[in-house]
Amino acid sequence: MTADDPRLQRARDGELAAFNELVLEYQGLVFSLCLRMLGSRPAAEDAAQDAFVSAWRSLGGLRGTAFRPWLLRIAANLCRDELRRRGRRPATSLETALEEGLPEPAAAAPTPERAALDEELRRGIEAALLDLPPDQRLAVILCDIEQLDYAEIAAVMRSTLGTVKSRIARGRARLRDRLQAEPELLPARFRQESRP
Amino acid sequence: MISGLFRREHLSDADLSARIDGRLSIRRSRAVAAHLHRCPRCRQAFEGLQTAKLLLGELPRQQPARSFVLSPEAAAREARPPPASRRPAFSFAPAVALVLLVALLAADFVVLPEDGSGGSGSADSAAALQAERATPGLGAAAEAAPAAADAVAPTEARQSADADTTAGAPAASGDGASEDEAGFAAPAGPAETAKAQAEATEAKEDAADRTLLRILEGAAAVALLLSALLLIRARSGKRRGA
Repeated sequence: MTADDPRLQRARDGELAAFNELVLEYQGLVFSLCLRMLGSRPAAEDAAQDAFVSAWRSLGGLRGTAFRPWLLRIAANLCRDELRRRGRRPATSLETALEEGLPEPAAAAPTPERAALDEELRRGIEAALLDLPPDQRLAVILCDIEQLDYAEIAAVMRSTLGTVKSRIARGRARLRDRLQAEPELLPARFRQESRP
Repeated sequence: MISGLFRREHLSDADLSARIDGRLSIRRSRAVAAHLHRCPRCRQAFEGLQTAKLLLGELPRQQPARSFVLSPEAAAREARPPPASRRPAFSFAPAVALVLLVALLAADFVVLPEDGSGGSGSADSAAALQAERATPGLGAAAEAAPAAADAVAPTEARQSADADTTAGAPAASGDGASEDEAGFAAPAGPAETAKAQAEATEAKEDAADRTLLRILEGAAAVALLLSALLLIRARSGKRRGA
Protein backbone atom coordinates (compact mmCIF):
# COMPACT_ATOMS: atom_id res chain seq x y z
CA MET A 1 0.00 0.00 0.00
CA THR A 2 1.32 3.39 -0.94
CA ALA A 3 1.20 6.59 1.07
CA ASP A 4 -1.52 7.93 -1.26
CA ASP A 5 -3.87 4.97 -0.74
CA PRO A 6 -7.38 6.46 -0.61
CA ARG A 7 -8.22 4.42 2.51
CA LEU A 8 -5.24 5.92 4.26
CA GLN A 9 -6.29 9.40 3.22
CA ARG A 10 -9.84 8.84 4.45
CA ALA A 11 -8.59 7.33 7.70
CA ARG A 12 -6.32 10.33 8.15
CA ASP A 13 -9.36 12.53 7.72
CA GLY A 14 -10.96 10.76 10.66
CA GLU A 15 -13.05 8.12 8.87
CA LEU A 16 -13.03 5.15 11.22
CA ALA A 17 -14.45 2.71 8.66
CA ALA A 18 -11.52 3.37 6.33
CA PHE A 19 -9.07 2.88 9.19
CA ASN A 20 -10.73 -0.39 10.14
CA GLU A 21 -10.28 -1.63 6.57
CA LEU A 22 -6.56 -1.12 7.10
CA VAL A 23 -6.77 -2.89 10.46
CA LEU A 24 -8.35 -5.92 8.82
CA GLU A 25 -5.68 -5.96 6.14
CA TYR A 26 -2.74 -5.68 8.52
CA GLN A 27 -3.89 -7.30 11.76
CA GLY A 28 -2.49 -10.73 10.82
CA LEU A 29 0.93 -9.23 10.09
CA VAL A 30 0.98 -7.07 13.20
CA PHE A 31 -0.22 -9.86 15.47
CA SER A 32 2.27 -12.30 13.99
CA LEU A 33 5.13 -9.88 14.58
CA CYS A 34 4.03 -9.26 18.17
CA LEU A 35 3.63 -12.97 18.83
CA ARG A 36 7.11 -13.79 17.51
CA MET A 37 8.58 -10.92 19.48
CA LEU A 38 6.79 -11.57 22.76
CA GLY A 39 6.17 -15.32 22.68
CA SER A 40 2.78 -15.11 24.31
CA ARG A 41 -0.63 -14.86 22.68
CA PRO A 42 -2.30 -12.64 25.30
CA ALA A 43 0.67 -10.27 25.34
CA ALA A 44 0.77 -10.24 21.53
CA GLU A 45 -2.96 -9.47 21.32
CA ASP A 46 -2.57 -6.62 23.77
CA ALA A 47 0.42 -5.22 21.89
CA ALA A 48 -1.33 -5.54 18.52
CA GLN A 49 -4.47 -3.82 19.83
CA ASP A 50 -2.35 -1.05 21.36
CA ALA A 51 -0.49 -0.68 18.07
CA PHE A 52 -3.71 -0.05 16.15
CA VAL A 53 -5.03 2.32 18.80
CA SER A 54 -1.75 4.20 18.73
CA ALA A 55 -1.78 4.23 14.92
CA TRP A 56 -5.30 5.67 14.90
CA ARG A 57 -4.27 8.34 17.35
CA SER A 58 -1.14 9.41 15.49
CA LEU A 59 -2.30 8.84 11.92
CA GLY A 60 -2.52 12.59 11.39
CA GLY A 61 1.26 12.79 11.73
CA LEU A 62 1.88 10.22 8.99
CA ARG A 63 3.00 12.21 5.98
CA GLY A 64 4.98 10.87 3.07
CA THR A 65 5.84 7.65 4.88
CA ALA A 66 4.69 4.24 3.78
CA PHE A 67 1.97 2.92 6.07
CA ARG A 68 3.24 -0.65 6.56
CA PRO A 69 6.72 0.08 7.96
CA TRP A 70 5.23 2.89 10.04
CA LEU A 71 2.63 0.55 11.54
CA LEU A 72 5.19 -2.20 12.09
CA ARG A 73 7.49 0.27 13.80
CA ILE A 74 4.73 1.21 16.23
CA ALA A 75 4.10 -2.48 16.97
CA ALA A 76 7.83 -3.22 17.31
CA ASN A 77 8.29 -0.32 19.72
CA LEU A 78 5.41 -1.54 21.86
CA CYS A 79 6.94 -5.01 21.91
CA ARG A 80 10.29 -3.54 22.86
CA ASP A 81 8.68 -1.62 25.71
CA GLU A 82 6.95 -4.76 26.90
CA LEU A 83 10.22 -6.73 26.77
CA ARG A 84 12.00 -3.97 28.63
CA ARG A 85 9.33 -4.12 31.29
CA ARG A 86 9.89 -7.83 31.65
CA GLY A 87 13.61 -7.29 32.03
CA ARG A 88 14.71 -7.62 28.42
CA ARG A 89 13.67 -11.25 28.26
CA PRO A 90 10.55 -12.74 26.73
CA ALA A 91 8.33 -14.39 29.31
CA THR A 92 8.63 -17.63 27.42
CA SER A 93 11.98 -19.34 27.46
CA LEU A 94 12.80 -22.41 25.44
CA GLU A 95 11.55 -24.75 28.14
CA THR A 96 8.24 -22.99 28.77
CA ALA A 97 7.67 -22.60 25.05
CA LEU A 98 8.06 -26.31 24.59
CA GLU A 99 5.86 -27.03 27.57
CA GLU A 100 3.16 -24.60 26.53
CA GLY A 101 3.35 -25.60 22.92
CA LEU A 102 3.58 -22.08 21.71
CA PRO A 103 2.17 -20.92 19.41
CA GLU A 104 -0.88 -23.10 19.65
CA PRO A 105 -1.02 -25.48 16.71
CA ALA A 106 -4.83 -25.20 16.62
CA ALA A 107 -4.55 -21.50 15.84
CA ALA A 108 -2.04 -22.08 13.09
CA ALA A 109 -3.31 -21.46 9.61
CA PRO A 110 -0.49 -22.55 7.33
CA THR A 111 -0.58 -21.05 3.89
CA PRO A 112 -0.40 -23.60 1.11
CA GLU A 113 3.09 -22.54 0.09
CA ARG A 114 4.45 -23.11 3.55
CA ALA A 115 5.12 -26.75 4.16
CA ALA A 116 3.99 -28.07 7.48
CA LEU A 117 6.94 -28.42 9.78
CA ASP A 118 7.40 -31.22 12.13
CA GLU A 119 5.75 -30.10 15.37
CA GLU A 120 8.84 -30.53 17.51
CA LEU A 121 11.03 -28.77 15.01
CA ARG A 122 8.60 -25.88 14.76
CA ARG A 123 8.58 -25.42 18.49
CA GLY A 124 12.34 -25.67 18.60
CA ILE A 125 12.73 -22.92 16.01
CA GLU A 126 10.20 -20.69 17.70
CA ALA A 127 11.90 -21.14 21.05
CA ALA A 128 15.32 -20.45 19.50
CA LEU A 129 13.89 -17.32 17.91
CA LEU A 130 12.65 -16.14 21.30
CA ASP A 131 16.14 -16.50 22.70
CA LEU A 132 17.63 -14.03 20.21
CA PRO A 133 18.35 -10.50 21.38
CA PRO A 134 15.30 -8.34 20.50
CA ASP A 135 16.96 -6.38 17.69
CA GLN A 136 18.24 -9.51 15.95
CA ARG A 137 14.91 -11.22 16.51
CA LEU A 138 13.02 -8.33 14.94
CA ALA A 139 15.35 -8.22 11.93
CA VAL A 140 15.11 -11.98 11.37
CA ILE A 141 11.32 -12.02 11.79
CA LEU A 142 10.86 -9.20 9.31
CA CYS A 143 13.29 -10.67 6.78
CA ASP A 144 12.81 -14.42 6.96
CA ILE A 145 9.26 -14.80 8.25
CA GLU A 146 7.50 -11.72 6.93
CA GLN A 147 9.70 -11.49 3.82
CA LEU A 148 10.26 -7.73 3.92
CA ASP A 149 13.18 -6.37 1.92
CA TYR A 150 16.18 -4.74 3.60
CA ALA A 151 15.05 -1.18 2.82
CA GLU A 152 11.67 -1.69 4.46
CA ILE A 153 13.25 -3.42 7.46
CA ALA A 154 15.59 -0.44 7.81
CA ALA A 155 12.52 1.83 7.77
CA VAL A 156 10.83 -0.25 10.47
CA MET A 157 13.93 -0.38 12.63
CA ARG A 158 15.01 3.17 11.82
CA SER A 159 18.51 2.00 11.12
CA THR A 160 20.92 1.78 8.22
CA LEU A 161 21.03 -1.01 5.67
CA GLY A 162 24.39 -2.05 7.13
CA THR A 163 22.91 -2.45 10.59
CA VAL A 164 19.99 -4.43 9.20
CA LYS A 165 22.34 -6.69 7.29
CA SER A 166 24.46 -7.29 10.36
CA ARG A 167 21.49 -7.99 12.65
CA ILE A 168 20.03 -10.46 10.20
CA ALA A 169 23.38 -12.21 9.83
CA ARG A 170 23.97 -12.48 13.56
CA GLY A 171 20.42 -13.63 14.23
CA ARG A 172 20.59 -16.32 11.56
CA ALA A 173 24.01 -17.44 12.76
CA ARG A 174 22.70 -17.90 16.31
CA LEU A 175 19.74 -19.87 15.03
CA ARG A 176 22.04 -22.00 12.89
CA ASP A 177 24.31 -22.75 15.84
CA ARG A 178 21.33 -23.63 17.98
CA LEU A 179 19.88 -25.95 15.34
CA GLN A 180 23.23 -27.57 14.71
CA ALA A 181 23.53 -28.23 18.43
CA GLU A 182 20.26 -30.17 18.23
CA PRO A 183 20.57 -31.96 14.87
CA GLU A 184 17.90 -34.48 15.81
CA LEU A 185 15.35 -31.68 15.43
CA LEU A 186 16.25 -31.14 11.80
CA PRO A 187 14.40 -33.01 9.08
CA ALA A 188 16.50 -35.43 7.06
CA ARG A 189 16.71 -33.07 4.07
CA PHE A 190 18.48 -30.46 6.22
CA ARG A 191 20.68 -32.94 8.05
CA GLN A 192 22.08 -34.15 4.77
CA GLU A 193 22.60 -30.62 3.53
CA SER A 194 24.42 -29.51 6.63
CA ARG A 195 27.08 -32.18 6.35
CA PRO A 196 30.37 -30.87 4.99
CA MET B 1 40.94 -9.46 1.34
CA ILE B 2 40.10 -11.26 -1.85
CA SER B 3 43.35 -13.19 -1.74
CA GLY B 4 42.24 -14.24 1.75
CA LEU B 5 39.14 -15.76 0.23
CA PHE B 6 41.30 -18.20 -1.69
CA ARG B 7 43.59 -18.98 1.18
CA ARG B 8 43.02 -19.67 4.83
CA GLU B 9 40.67 -16.87 5.90
CA HIS B 10 37.11 -17.95 6.32
CA LEU B 11 34.09 -15.98 5.24
CA SER B 12 32.15 -13.94 7.76
CA ASP B 13 28.54 -14.73 8.59
CA ALA B 14 27.72 -11.24 7.37
CA ASP B 15 29.01 -12.09 3.87
CA LEU B 16 27.38 -15.51 3.87
CA SER B 17 24.06 -14.12 5.04
CA ALA B 18 24.19 -11.25 2.53
CA ARG B 19 24.88 -13.76 -0.24
CA ILE B 20 21.73 -15.69 0.69
CA ASP B 21 19.72 -12.48 0.25
CA GLY B 22 21.55 -11.46 -2.91
CA ARG B 23 22.97 -8.39 -1.21
CA LEU B 24 26.60 -8.76 -2.38
CA SER B 25 28.12 -6.94 -5.29
CA ILE B 26 28.69 -9.11 -8.35
CA ARG B 27 32.43 -9.13 -7.81
CA ARG B 28 32.14 -9.98 -4.13
CA SER B 29 29.54 -12.60 -4.83
CA ARG B 30 31.88 -14.34 -7.32
CA ALA B 31 34.73 -14.31 -4.83
CA VAL B 32 32.48 -15.75 -2.11
CA ALA B 33 31.19 -18.45 -4.47
CA ALA B 34 34.75 -19.44 -5.38
CA HIS B 35 35.69 -19.63 -1.72
CA LEU B 36 32.63 -21.71 -0.85
CA HIS B 37 33.50 -24.11 -3.62
CA ARG B 38 36.85 -24.94 -2.07
CA CYS B 39 36.22 -24.42 1.68
CA PRO B 40 34.04 -27.11 3.34
CA ARG B 41 33.91 -25.24 6.63
CA CYS B 42 32.50 -22.06 5.08
CA ARG B 43 30.16 -24.14 2.95
CA GLN B 44 28.79 -25.78 6.06
CA ALA B 45 28.34 -22.42 7.75
CA PHE B 46 26.60 -21.10 4.63
CA GLU B 47 24.25 -24.06 4.41
CA GLY B 48 23.44 -23.72 8.10
CA LEU B 49 22.36 -20.11 7.52
CA GLN B 50 20.32 -21.16 4.51
CA THR B 51 18.61 -23.83 6.59
CA ALA B 52 17.78 -21.32 9.31
CA LYS B 53 16.24 -18.97 6.74
CA LEU B 54 14.26 -21.74 5.08
CA LEU B 55 12.89 -23.08 8.36
CA LEU B 56 11.86 -19.63 9.52
CA GLY B 57 10.11 -19.10 6.21
CA GLU B 58 8.12 -22.27 6.76
CA LEU B 59 6.75 -21.22 10.13
CA PRO B 60 2.99 -20.94 9.88
CA ARG B 61 1.45 -17.48 10.03
CA GLN B 62 -0.41 -17.18 13.30
CA GLN B 63 -3.83 -15.62 13.23
CA PRO B 64 -5.18 -13.62 16.14
CA ALA B 65 -8.15 -15.07 18.01
CA ARG B 66 -9.96 -11.76 17.78
CA SER B 67 -10.19 -8.78 15.52
CA PHE B 68 -8.48 -5.50 16.36
CA VAL B 69 -10.89 -3.18 14.56
CA LEU B 70 -11.65 -0.12 16.63
CA SER B 71 -15.21 0.39 17.86
CA PRO B 72 -16.57 3.93 17.49
CA GLU B 73 -16.43 4.24 21.28
CA ALA B 74 -12.79 3.20 21.42
CA ALA B 75 -11.97 5.53 18.53
CA ALA B 76 -13.74 8.40 20.27
CA ARG B 77 -11.91 7.65 23.49
CA GLU B 78 -8.66 7.77 21.59
CA ALA B 79 -9.63 10.91 19.75
CA ARG B 80 -6.64 12.47 18.08
CA PRO B 81 -5.49 15.63 19.76
CA PRO B 82 -6.47 18.43 17.38
CA PRO B 83 -3.18 19.74 16.05
CA ALA B 84 -4.07 23.36 16.83
CA SER B 85 -5.31 22.94 20.39
CA ARG B 86 -3.43 21.18 23.15
CA ARG B 87 0.14 21.10 22.00
CA PRO B 88 0.62 24.77 21.10
CA ALA B 89 -0.90 25.81 24.43
CA PHE B 90 1.62 23.61 26.13
CA SER B 91 4.56 24.72 24.09
CA PHE B 92 3.78 28.43 24.30
CA ALA B 93 3.00 28.48 28.00
CA PRO B 94 6.62 28.90 29.16
CA ALA B 95 7.21 31.60 26.56
CA VAL B 96 4.12 33.52 27.69
CA ALA B 97 5.14 33.20 31.33
CA LEU B 98 8.65 34.35 30.49
CA VAL B 99 7.42 37.42 28.62
CA LEU B 100 5.15 38.25 31.53
CA LEU B 101 7.98 37.90 34.00
CA VAL B 102 10.31 40.10 31.95
CA ALA B 103 7.57 42.72 31.52
CA LEU B 104 6.93 42.78 35.24
CA LEU B 105 10.61 43.07 36.08
CA ALA B 106 10.93 45.88 33.57
CA ALA B 107 7.93 47.60 35.12
CA ASP B 108 9.52 47.20 38.50
CA PHE B 109 12.70 48.96 37.43
CA VAL B 110 11.29 51.57 35.11
CA VAL B 111 8.01 52.58 36.73
CA LEU B 112 9.05 52.20 40.35
CA PRO B 113 12.77 52.97 40.53
CA GLU B 114 14.68 51.63 43.49
CA ASP B 115 16.83 54.73 43.57
CA GLY B 116 16.73 58.08 41.84
CA SER B 117 19.59 57.45 39.48
CA GLY B 118 17.63 54.92 37.48
CA GLY B 119 14.20 56.49 37.33
CA SER B 120 14.38 60.07 36.17
CA GLY B 121 11.45 61.11 34.07
CA SER B 122 9.05 58.57 35.47
CA ALA B 123 5.90 59.36 37.39
CA ASP B 124 7.52 58.30 40.63
CA SER B 125 10.60 60.44 40.35
CA ALA B 126 8.21 63.27 39.66
CA ALA B 127 6.48 62.45 42.92
CA ALA B 128 9.81 62.39 44.67
CA LEU B 129 10.63 65.76 43.18
CA GLN B 130 7.35 67.09 44.40
CA ALA B 131 8.09 65.81 47.89
CA GLU B 132 11.47 67.48 47.72
CA ARG B 133 9.93 70.78 46.83
CA ALA B 134 7.66 70.54 49.81
CA THR B 135 10.52 70.01 52.23
CA PRO B 136 13.65 72.10 51.93
CA GLY B 137 17.14 70.71 52.38
CA LEU B 138 18.70 67.28 51.91
CA GLY B 139 16.85 64.00 52.44
CA ALA B 140 13.52 65.61 51.68
CA ALA B 141 11.36 62.57 52.14
CA ALA B 142 13.06 61.52 55.33
CA GLU B 143 12.36 64.92 56.80
CA ALA B 144 8.93 65.25 55.35
CA ALA B 145 7.79 62.05 56.96
CA PRO B 146 8.19 63.17 60.59
CA ALA B 147 6.48 66.41 59.62
CA ALA B 148 3.57 64.48 58.25
CA ALA B 149 3.68 62.30 61.30
CA ASP B 150 2.94 65.27 63.50
CA ALA B 151 0.06 66.29 61.33
CA VAL B 152 -1.67 62.95 60.60
CA ALA B 153 -0.92 59.32 61.34
CA PRO B 154 2.54 58.88 62.82
CA THR B 155 2.92 55.17 62.12
CA GLU B 156 1.82 55.34 58.52
CA ALA B 157 4.05 58.24 57.75
CA ARG B 158 7.06 56.63 59.35
CA GLN B 159 6.34 53.50 57.42
CA SER B 160 6.34 55.39 54.19
CA ALA B 161 9.53 57.13 55.12
CA ASP B 162 11.17 53.78 55.82
CA ALA B 163 9.84 52.20 52.70
CA ASP B 164 10.96 55.16 50.81
CA THR B 165 14.42 55.47 51.14
CA THR B 166 13.29 54.12 47.77
CA ALA B 167 11.04 56.85 46.45
CA GLY B 168 12.66 59.49 48.58
CA ALA B 169 16.21 58.48 47.84
CA PRO B 170 16.45 60.52 44.64
CA ALA B 171 16.60 63.54 46.80
CA ALA B 172 19.41 62.16 48.90
CA SER B 173 21.48 61.20 45.91
CA GLY B 174 21.00 64.36 43.88
CA ASP B 175 22.61 66.86 46.22
CA GLY B 176 23.07 69.84 43.91
CA ALA B 177 19.65 69.56 42.43
CA SER B 178 17.94 69.31 45.77
CA GLU B 179 19.74 72.36 47.05
CA ASP B 180 18.43 74.32 44.10
CA GLU B 181 15.01 72.93 44.71
CA ALA B 182 15.31 73.79 48.38
CA GLY B 183 15.98 77.43 47.59
CA PHE B 184 13.15 77.42 45.13
CA ALA B 185 10.71 75.85 47.57
CA ALA B 186 11.76 77.74 50.66
CA PRO B 187 8.94 80.30 50.70
CA ALA B 188 6.26 77.65 50.63
CA GLY B 189 6.20 77.31 54.41
CA PRO B 190 2.48 76.92 55.29
CA ALA B 191 1.76 74.50 52.43
CA GLU B 192 4.57 72.28 53.68
CA THR B 193 2.54 70.00 55.90
CA ALA B 194 -0.17 69.37 53.36
CA LYS B 195 2.34 68.55 50.64
CA ALA B 196 4.30 66.27 52.90
CA GLN B 197 1.06 64.50 53.68
CA ALA B 198 0.35 64.09 49.98
CA GLU B 199 3.85 62.80 49.47
CA ALA B 200 3.46 60.29 52.28
CA THR B 201 0.24 58.99 50.76
CA GLU B 202 1.93 58.60 47.40
CA ALA B 203 4.87 56.83 48.96
CA LYS B 204 2.43 54.48 50.63
CA GLU B 205 0.73 53.80 47.28
CA ASP B 206 4.10 53.17 45.71
CA ALA B 207 4.95 50.64 48.37
CA ALA B 208 1.62 48.89 47.72
CA ASP B 209 2.29 48.92 43.96
CA ARG B 210 5.71 47.44 44.52
CA THR B 211 4.34 44.70 46.73
CA LEU B 212 1.75 43.91 44.07
CA LEU B 213 4.47 43.81 41.41
CA ARG B 214 6.59 41.48 43.53
CA ILE B 215 3.63 39.15 43.97
CA LEU B 216 2.96 39.19 40.22
CA GLU B 217 6.63 38.54 39.50
CA GLY B 218 6.65 35.64 41.89
CA ALA B 219 3.48 34.26 40.29
CA ALA B 220 4.97 34.63 36.82
CA ALA B 221 8.17 32.90 37.89
CA VAL B 222 6.19 30.01 39.40
CA ALA B 223 4.03 29.83 36.27
CA LEU B 224 7.18 29.74 34.14
CA LEU B 225 8.65 26.91 36.14
CA LEU B 226 5.42 24.93 36.25
CA SER B 227 4.71 25.25 32.55
CA ALA B 228 8.27 24.28 31.68
CA LEU B 229 7.97 21.20 33.88
CA LEU B 230 4.61 20.27 32.35
CA LEU B 231 6.02 20.69 28.87
CA ILE B 232 8.99 18.45 29.65
CA ARG B 233 6.66 15.85 31.13
CA ALA B 234 4.32 15.99 28.17
CA ARG B 235 7.23 15.58 25.73
CA SER B 236 8.77 12.64 27.57
CA GLY B 237 5.33 11.04 27.76
CA LYS B 238 4.89 11.50 24.07
CA ARG B 239 8.28 9.91 23.42
CA ARG B 240 7.39 6.93 25.58
CA GLY B 241 4.12 6.63 23.70
CA ALA B 242 5.88 6.63 20.35
